Amino acid sequence: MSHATSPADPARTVRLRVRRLDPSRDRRPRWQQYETPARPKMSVLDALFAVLEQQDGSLAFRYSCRTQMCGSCAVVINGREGLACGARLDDLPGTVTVEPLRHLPVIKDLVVDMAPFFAAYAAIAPSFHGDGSAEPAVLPPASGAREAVDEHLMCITCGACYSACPTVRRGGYLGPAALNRAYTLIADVRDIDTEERLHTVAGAGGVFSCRNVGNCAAVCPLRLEPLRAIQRLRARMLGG
Amino acid sequence: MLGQPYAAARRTRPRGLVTAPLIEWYAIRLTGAMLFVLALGHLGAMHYGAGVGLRAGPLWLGFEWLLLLLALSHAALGLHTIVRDAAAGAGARLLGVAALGAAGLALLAIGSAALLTLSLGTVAGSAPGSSDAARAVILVLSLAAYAALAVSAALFVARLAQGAPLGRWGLAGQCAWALHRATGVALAGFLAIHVVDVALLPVAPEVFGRSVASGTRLTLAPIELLIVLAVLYHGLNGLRLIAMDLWPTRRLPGRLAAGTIVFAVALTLPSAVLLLRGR
Repeated sequence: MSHATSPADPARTVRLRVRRLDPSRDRRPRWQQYETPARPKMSVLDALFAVLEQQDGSLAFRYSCRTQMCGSCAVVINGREGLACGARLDDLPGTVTVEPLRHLPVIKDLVVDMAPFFAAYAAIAPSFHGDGSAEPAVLPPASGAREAVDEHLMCITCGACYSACPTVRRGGYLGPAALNRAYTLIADVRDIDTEERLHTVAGAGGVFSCRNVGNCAAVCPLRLEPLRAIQRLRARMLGG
Repeated sequence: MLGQPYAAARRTRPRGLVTAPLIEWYAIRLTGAMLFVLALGHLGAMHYGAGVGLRAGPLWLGFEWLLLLLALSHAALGLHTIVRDAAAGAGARLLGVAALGAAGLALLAIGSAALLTLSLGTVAGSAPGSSDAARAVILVLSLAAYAALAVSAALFVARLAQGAPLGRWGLAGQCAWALHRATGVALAGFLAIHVVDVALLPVAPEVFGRSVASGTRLTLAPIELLIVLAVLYHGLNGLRLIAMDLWPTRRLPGRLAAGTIVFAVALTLPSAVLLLRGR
């Protein structure tokens, strides 16, 4: 039995099934299974560490903050994107499968090259560009201008939405995270690059490539809704 | 700009912002919305006997021709989107676009000629020489159209065979997306057959008769019911997608997607009753 019925059971073990690939050696990915003792409130990242420290020092994965703030440990857990540090084993019955993010080249095992993701991010010029005033004007928190942007601001660029989006697979699509960021800047009345960004996101690979699937919103660990940002951009272009 | 109320700024449509993806967005949605209305009218008139008195004359010819044009345009645009999403490279995409364009034009020629012939009341056999020529033209154009559609399908299948993942099942939006595409492809396939079989009516009525007679009520009724269901689901889901773009909603796509399926099934029930009663 890979998983006990009670989270408080101190003797239970968890069975991890990890998709592994070392491009310098392997031609195809392979699945490797591990069993490790599970503690209450243990996360998938904790389990990966347990495997690394006690069973297989060659297992590669990425992490940083371990508190769901940095987005470094995003992987696909049981077929759905999430943060390894935020996924509790108590909530994952049976064998837990762990795969690297999709649509990104695998460097090793669960570590992917985020370059395509950030290249798309860079394409929308993701930095705020004001009018040169010494102090950017402050938007009151309760103002409509601020509220329109607020719900899209907390993206940690983990890449979960990029991995879950079926349109990203075809290539050339900017992806949900980049378009979400573009929306926050386009909707920011202080930013002066609005026209340029609108032309970027209205062009090939922009908001009109989105197929309204909504996987981005379904898997976002921070419960952001990139699809809504994309729809708001489209509505603006359509005069809605 | 800071002095400008945000709501006013949001409504300001950017000047000169006309891009190819924007035009494509309009094209596929406008053809889709109009097609949905016309297709329901066609189904009602031709298959359920509604407005029998209207089924003649230039107005009816215009209606049917517009339906044909919209159906082929929408099908070509939709299939183009699928092939483009699946095609591995620029060459494959170009091939897909060319194939779909060729198929669409061939079917438009066949369908237009058939509608014109039927509306003029030409009876097969009244001009035997031209009838043979017409059969040959229909045969060649049909084969060309089907070959072009086969090329598009092959591009899609080849991509899948390379191991491209189909997507993520279990998420409502993903299922709606897959179902919209599946019903779209099925309806495009039906359209390609339907155009050719109607074209055979004036020039080869015996072939048309054999093809219709080959099916019994037991085999044809479920197919017809599935077509009605596919039209309703595809049309309603298309309207949902348009509404989502024009009026963005929060955390509703899943419920709307599921509601669309229920609504389409409910609207199909009257057709099922009619078919069971043998109309």
